[in-house]
Amino acid sequence: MDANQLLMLLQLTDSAFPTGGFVHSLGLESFVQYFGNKQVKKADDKRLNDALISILENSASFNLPLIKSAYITASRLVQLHRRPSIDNTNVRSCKDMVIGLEQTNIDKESIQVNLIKTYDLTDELVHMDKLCEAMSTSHTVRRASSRQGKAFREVSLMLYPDMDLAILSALKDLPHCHYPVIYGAVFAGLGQDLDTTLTSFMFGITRSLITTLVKLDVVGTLEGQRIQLNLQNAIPDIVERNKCKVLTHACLRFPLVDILQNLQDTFFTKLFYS
Amino acid sequence: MFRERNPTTGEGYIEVQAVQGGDEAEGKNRELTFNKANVVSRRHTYPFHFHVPEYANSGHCKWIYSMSYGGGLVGGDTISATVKVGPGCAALVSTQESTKVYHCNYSGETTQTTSYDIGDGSLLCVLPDATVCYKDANFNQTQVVQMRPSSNLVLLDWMLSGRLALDEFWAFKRYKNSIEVYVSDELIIKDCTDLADTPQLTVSQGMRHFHVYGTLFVLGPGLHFLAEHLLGIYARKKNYNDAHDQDLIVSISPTQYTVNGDLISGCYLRFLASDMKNAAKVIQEITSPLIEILGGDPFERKL
Repeated sequence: MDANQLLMLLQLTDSAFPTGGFVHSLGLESFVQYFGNKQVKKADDKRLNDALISILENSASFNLPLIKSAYITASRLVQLHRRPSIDNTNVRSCKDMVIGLEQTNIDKESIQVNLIKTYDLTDELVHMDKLCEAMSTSHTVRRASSRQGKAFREVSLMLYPDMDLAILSALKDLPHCHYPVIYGAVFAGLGQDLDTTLTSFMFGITRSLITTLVKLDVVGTLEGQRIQLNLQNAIPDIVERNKCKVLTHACLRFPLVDILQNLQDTFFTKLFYS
Repeated sequence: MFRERNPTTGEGYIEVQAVQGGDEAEGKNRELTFNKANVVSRRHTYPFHFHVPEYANSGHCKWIYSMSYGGGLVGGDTISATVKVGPGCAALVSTQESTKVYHCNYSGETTQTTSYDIGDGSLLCVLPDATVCYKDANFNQTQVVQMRPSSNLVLLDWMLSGRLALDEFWAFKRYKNSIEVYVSDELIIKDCTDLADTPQLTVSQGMRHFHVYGTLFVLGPGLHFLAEHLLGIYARKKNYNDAHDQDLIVSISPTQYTVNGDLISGCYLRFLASDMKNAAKVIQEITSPLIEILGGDPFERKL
């Protein structure tokens, strides 16, 4: 990885990157509230560790197949549109992109073929987004995914206007903007490799979990980093097990934390949105 | 001596249609009035069986029991069943007892696929007993529902951790469950669960002390009363210092989908209970508002 790509990756995965991740606890706040802060704090590491691993496993088994599929489709879009250089500023949808392409000096037959393929690939991304909506049966998960996806899309569009044109227009066409679909497409558009994309996503989940634990005063910052290191050691295995799965195999592995996450709206007080 | 049978492929098809010129049942709910229904087609192959008792209930709802000979699904069994409910009628699909899934030590997996088709203005309630996956079972279950914007669906799917008397606690190899709901051929719900040990965590560790896990879908214009009833109980905001029930967790989501301009609403409920006694509280909340429509309680004397 060259220095520019590394720096871009560091920025994308930094907690300062404004995707709103800091308001989502991934069910950990519910877990702490349900079983009691004192109980969890009692150095009952096994109980807390099981909850953290459950969240990591669920995040991977549900999100990674979607991210991978979006990444592959978006990569094909990038390959299709390496050539033309169009002014991106007025691109709002696929239709705008068609107009942009027609204004370039490429032969019309090749444009036609490329456009048909572009529509097909854009449709694939739309289909993934709709599938993600259908699979997000819990309203808390659906809300968090859509909000984070929209924020990630807006920031990416603003920061990387020279990202591949086809990706930019496809992102604008997504009806629900689910986070894994946007994440996979943006990382493909920015030229990050697939393994980096999947691992960095899991790193983001881990980072959010530790931030949540510190904010909820379950652990201190130093202890938080120790837990993060332990969780990070599990990530390569989790990614390896889930990256070969196809889109339709996205699933839930450990229901307890997911059911608890769905209780978020019923708590009298809460720090996080989901 | 008890001898297990060999794995088999069983199929079933049943179709329920409204009786022409039949009288309409009077219900509290205007949306839920049904014609008297008859079974117009029923076929099945061993070991699967559709049983339709004549006097199971009162009223117009047709009760259908899906069964499998041998007391459960032997490792490697493949079951494929279809239930079709015609327009304007109501049907209940239930079981006589829990669906047992035996070990898969000598076979790949046990598969059960059920398709439901619900006609215009009809109601289908799928309220089976819990599935029990025995030690080393490998169960792959798929349920696909095709409905229309005016159709109504209550689909319960729940499972027990194993044979409690033998101290089995989530000891199966794998439990894969997929529920798909299509409205006018558009996929609106795809709920996939794949319970299996991972190198980092086993299913029993992840489930803590919970023995029962269940999922419920309520969808359709005639079932607002049931969705509101459940949302009223389980989506209620906690008061200050309210204690959390450590033996029963119930979470619920209101659901709303738009398909070709038609709005389909309902709710999605999941629960984890430490034992059947606690699970029965949720099951009763689900079934009690439906008893009048169903013409009886499918879980009577069972819970």
